[in-house]
Amino acid sequence: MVALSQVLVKFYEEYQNTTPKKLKIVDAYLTYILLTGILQFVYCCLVGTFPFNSFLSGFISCVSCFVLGVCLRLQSNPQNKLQFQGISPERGFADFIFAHIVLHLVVVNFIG
Amino acid sequence: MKRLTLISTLLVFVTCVYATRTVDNFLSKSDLQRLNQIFADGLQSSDLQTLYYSVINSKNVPADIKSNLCKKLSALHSESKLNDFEKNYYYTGISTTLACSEKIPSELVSQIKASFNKDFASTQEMFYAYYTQKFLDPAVVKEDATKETLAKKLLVLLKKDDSLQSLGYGFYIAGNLGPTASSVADRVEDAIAQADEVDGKLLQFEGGLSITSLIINGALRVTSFNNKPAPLTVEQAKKFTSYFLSRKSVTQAKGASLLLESLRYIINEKKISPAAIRVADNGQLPPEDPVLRIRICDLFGEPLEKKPASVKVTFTSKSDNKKVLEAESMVPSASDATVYKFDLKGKKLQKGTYKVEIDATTYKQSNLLVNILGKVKLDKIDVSISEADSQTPSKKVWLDKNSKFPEVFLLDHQQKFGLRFDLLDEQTNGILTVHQAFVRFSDASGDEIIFIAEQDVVKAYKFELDVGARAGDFAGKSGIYNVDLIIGDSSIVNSFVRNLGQVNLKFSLESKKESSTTPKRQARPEIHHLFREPEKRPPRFVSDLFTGLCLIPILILLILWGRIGINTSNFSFSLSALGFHGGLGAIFSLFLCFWLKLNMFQTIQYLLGLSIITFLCGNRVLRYIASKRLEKSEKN
Repeated sequence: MVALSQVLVKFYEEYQNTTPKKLKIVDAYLTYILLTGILQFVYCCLVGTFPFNSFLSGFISCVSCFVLGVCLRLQSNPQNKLQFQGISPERGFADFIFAHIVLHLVVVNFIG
Repeated sequence: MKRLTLISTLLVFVTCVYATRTVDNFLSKSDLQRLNQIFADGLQSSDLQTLYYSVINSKNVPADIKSNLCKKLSALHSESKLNDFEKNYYYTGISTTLACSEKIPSELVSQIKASFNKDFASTQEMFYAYYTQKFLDPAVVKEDATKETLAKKLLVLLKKDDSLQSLGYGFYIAGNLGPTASSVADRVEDAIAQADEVDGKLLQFEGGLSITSLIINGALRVTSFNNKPAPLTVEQAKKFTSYFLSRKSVTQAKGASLLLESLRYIINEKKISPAAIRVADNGQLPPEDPVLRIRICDLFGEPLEKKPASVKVTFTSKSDNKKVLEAESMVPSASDATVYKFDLKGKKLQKGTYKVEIDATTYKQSNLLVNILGKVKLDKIDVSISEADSQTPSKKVWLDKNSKFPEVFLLDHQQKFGLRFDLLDEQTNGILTVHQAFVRFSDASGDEIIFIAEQDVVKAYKFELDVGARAGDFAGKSGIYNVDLIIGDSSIVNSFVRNLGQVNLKFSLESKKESSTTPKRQARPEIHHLFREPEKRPPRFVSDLFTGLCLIPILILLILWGRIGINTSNFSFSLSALGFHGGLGAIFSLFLCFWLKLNMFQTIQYLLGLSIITFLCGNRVLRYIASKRLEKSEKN
């Protein structure tokens, strides 16, 4: 138990010190998405899925936002620079925005 | 291999045997009269072609029509819109056939002569030019030198164009020319092979009567001129003849003329020309006078030149394919030379349809049908009335010939009314099955209810009316009904309706009520589409609570961002940056509107404009940020 807490403390410190600020912002965004998704899931467990399309669009919107966010994080992480050669963080951000516009058009269409 | 050859020889032999040389149709007197009427009417026409064909087919043109025609001929010729060579041909043809006193204008004559010596564009032109010249001066075309030149020209033309029409005209002319053109006769077989078969019964060339007639006439002409055997097999001759006869309802003078010409050519080919064999009357042989009359004649309805030595007839029953009479001799009728008779009296043939085969030595016809009619006899009718729940009748009456019910039977809804009778053939006394056996109930108002009497296992006809169960058919209408027995069949001569008497039907009140309140035709209940029932939703409070809860993560996000320390100082208030963020905001507001009231098409329309602006601005902003970052990293 002590070891676990030690690991966690160590992990937190490492994160605070070594992670760039931009990535922390993205991480905060991801946390927000995750929490929203969990909330929707709890609601559906408590109350039911009716109307099903609305639930699906809301939940899937969260899942896909999360995926897109992770993608953005991967692309803008300096450690991954070699894998994404020629793709600047700005380009990644532009893709992120574009994907969001398309995603939400579909989500809104489906939400009913 | 040997066996195969044997089989094929056998097959050829069999087809030869079955090549029957008969058709089942011919030009009857009325057909010929109708065709002659077409020619008579054609004489009044102002169309050069119609006039020509009418004139050459009219035996004696009345003098007044003739002089009138001769006078206006020149004018008709100049008005005609036909080809030059064609109208010259009709003009000279009419003028020569009628022996008009008006001469053909000399410039036209010299023009015709000039064109006769020129080269021809087609065999068609050559055909018309040749016959025009023949009408004008028959001596010229008979000269050997002319024949020789024409034959050479013809061979050249046929080499250039070997279409069916070209060949047809070619054959026709070659039938007048000398030995140089005799090679044309070798092409006849190929041309005939191009004919289309229809249903295995007819042969014709694509293009109809005129082209078929042209080729057949030409082919028969050129082969007989060159002393070759006829180019058609017996089977082909039969099928072509069938085709020509199927077109005997033509209404145009040209068609009628070609039809007659072709049939004459075919009749002249003695070895292959088919004869017409058919039933002389309607083929219905009544039992009192069962005489089969068969007409055997040529295609114009005339007696055959060489009478068949013997005419045999074979009867085959159509229902069980059994030969009932074989090779019985027919005798010629005294009154009509084309008719042969066979008396069936005493042969005791069952009534029914028979296939008749006629064998007149060279000519055989196997697909004729005749009906031998019979007479039906109804002996006794067994009338029974019983209770619905019992099998034994409570009342039984026998009706004799022509007798009726002894009284008006009273039948209530718990009773059954039954009829049973035998139908017999009057001659053979055998049991008959007829097409129609009905029992009809009719009341004074004219309402009729008809039931079918059916045969039981011993072929006796039976009919049973369960009064209560059948109330619906009578619409529950009680009262007095006439009962008739209807017996009918196309192969009996004495179909009849016999009144059996009257019955008084009493239906129960309920059945009447039921039947009167359910009209037969009425609007069906309307069909409503059912959407899925919405499930029960949670109370408003729960929904609102979770909506509120969803805001908490946003709060957390803002707090986290605040703690990380978002750097907004980099934000430049340039036009592009404002455009980019404003554009994004506008797009998401648009999605909100889309959710609330817009439809997809409107949304896409607005989105297109917004996204272009946002894209351009975003591109500039991000490029600016990227360049600043690069500068920074270079400095480091």
